[in-house]
Amino acid sequence: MTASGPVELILEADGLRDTDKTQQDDLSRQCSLITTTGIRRLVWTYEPGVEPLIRQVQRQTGIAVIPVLPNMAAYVRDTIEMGVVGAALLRFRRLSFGARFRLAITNATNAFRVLRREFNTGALILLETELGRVLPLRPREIMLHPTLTDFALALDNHRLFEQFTDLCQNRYGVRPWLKTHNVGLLLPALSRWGIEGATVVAPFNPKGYWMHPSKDACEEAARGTTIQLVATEVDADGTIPLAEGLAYIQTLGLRAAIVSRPEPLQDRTP
Amino acid sequence: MIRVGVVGLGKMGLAHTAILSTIPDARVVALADTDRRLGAAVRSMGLRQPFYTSAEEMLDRETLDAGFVCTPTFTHFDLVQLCLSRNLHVFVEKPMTIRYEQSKLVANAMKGRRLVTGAGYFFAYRRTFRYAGELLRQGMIGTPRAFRGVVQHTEVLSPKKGWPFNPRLSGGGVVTNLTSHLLFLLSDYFGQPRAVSADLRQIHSSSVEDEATIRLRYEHGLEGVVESSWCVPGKPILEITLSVEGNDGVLTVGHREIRIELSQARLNFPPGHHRIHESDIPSKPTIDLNPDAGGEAYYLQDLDFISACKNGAAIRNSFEAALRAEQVLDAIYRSAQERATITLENA
Repeated sequence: MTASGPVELILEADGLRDTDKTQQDDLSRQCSLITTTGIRRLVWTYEPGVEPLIRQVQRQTGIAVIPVLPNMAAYVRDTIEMGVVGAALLRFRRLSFGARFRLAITNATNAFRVLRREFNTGALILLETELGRVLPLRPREIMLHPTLTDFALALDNHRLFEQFTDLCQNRYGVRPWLKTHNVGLLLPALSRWGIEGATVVAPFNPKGYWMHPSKDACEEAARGTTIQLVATEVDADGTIPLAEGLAYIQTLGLRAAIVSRPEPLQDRTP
Repeated sequence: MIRVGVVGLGKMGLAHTAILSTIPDARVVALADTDRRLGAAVRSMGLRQPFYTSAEEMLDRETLDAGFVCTPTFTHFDLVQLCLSRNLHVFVEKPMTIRYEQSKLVANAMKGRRLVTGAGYFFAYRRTFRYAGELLRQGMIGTPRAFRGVVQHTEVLSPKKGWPFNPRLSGGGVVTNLTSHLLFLLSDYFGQPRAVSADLRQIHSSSVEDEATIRLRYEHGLEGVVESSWCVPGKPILEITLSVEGNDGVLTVGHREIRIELSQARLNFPPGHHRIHESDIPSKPTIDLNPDAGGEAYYLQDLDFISACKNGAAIRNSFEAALRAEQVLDAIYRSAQERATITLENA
């Protein structure tokens, strides 16, 4: 199936990393580029250090923020020294009193599961703890961190996806997004488990870069699904022109792509 | 079908369990960890295998073909020996043990036995580093004359606690934990050095080294330097780069690409600058749990191990190959302690 119409570009916050927020010119230039290129959504893996920049960019451009939660790379790093509980408490202490109270109330019935080290409950409380910091950005979508997605996929842990989807839709009224690097396996698994309503984010590019288990399997899964897909790694780590990648994803019926920097409009027309 | 028991359910144990769960010829049939509370945790992750708090009990009760030892390093020696005593194929996370003498005992115990061994030097399976090795062996830059390796990670920016920072439990600091990956690759690319000297420095840690400068001298005049630190800000993912200078050019390999500068045509490459991105290097179909951290290589490593258990083929990071890297590791610590250049025996 070929998609009609332009592909929506969603900005990866890593593209803003080099922005010097102390230099108003630099920030204004980035914001202006976001506005002129028509980018309306920003994907951001939660990091406390980047939070002020994200808030400022949102204030200036009105861009919608899609948080990627929980930041598993940072969490795993912290567990080495602080342990599983200590790393979670560090995140809890970053919350405002109100956010702590809300988190405690909404998870009061989960206390037993936490004490039993129930993995899914713990992972989603960790997600909610980080979400407590980003709720003021009024996200309309929440993306599950790919490490968690792919770990659960490998272990056939469908309950995590069900609980995440339920949490997003019923507790926060936001759309669940799942980021994966193994879309050729995730899409058939979601169908097998009967999990609907999530958007799936995964690498798609003509070179097959980061498309697992294989380019063929990913293409077949993409063509055979009704799940909404968003592409990443469209330019295969900068080894092909973005336009070539965008043309490719359109042949698979995809209509949105996450890119690492705002591109002038003429460069992204396939 | 290769029946696997996983011992140690920390970060690496869970990663291997997840990867093995996706390999068609492998079946994780039992799990063990001394932390009893992990039993409920792993069940809630979707793992339904029997859980034991003792590796010995797991081995007594289950019928296994292979053991994956993913516990803290100081326990490796006993657990690997336990697996070998039950005639199991063994994979152990790197380093094999906390001391070269122990690793040598373990590797020697394997001689003449038809068991597959593997140690977690997974960089041997990263696309760019694997292909760079092939190019160097094919003479892409002529005879190598010098190299410079850099190992950087943001791991220790303040004093840290835990077993990895106790040398009696971990074997050492940044050199043991991170630089050993590069030492394994160097051993694979160039063989064993004749002489090793090293300066080890503490920045935030009080018991293990945080930074190292290592000088390696090989036969035929090849010399190299490795700079290593886990106190580098802005490197959330371990980064290893290696630049090799040869008679006919320079080859630089990192996680994402290989860059080659040739003074004359070599292997169908004309003189000039060439860039080979990892996406240009073919690979088997793989599952990748974390591409930034080299997830594909973890999968290929485990796949290779399981395939070898089935068909007896050799694997890249066998105990024998790992022992060569750990011999250099040992020489590095001896050099730093004795403040002298160490000449390697049987180099």
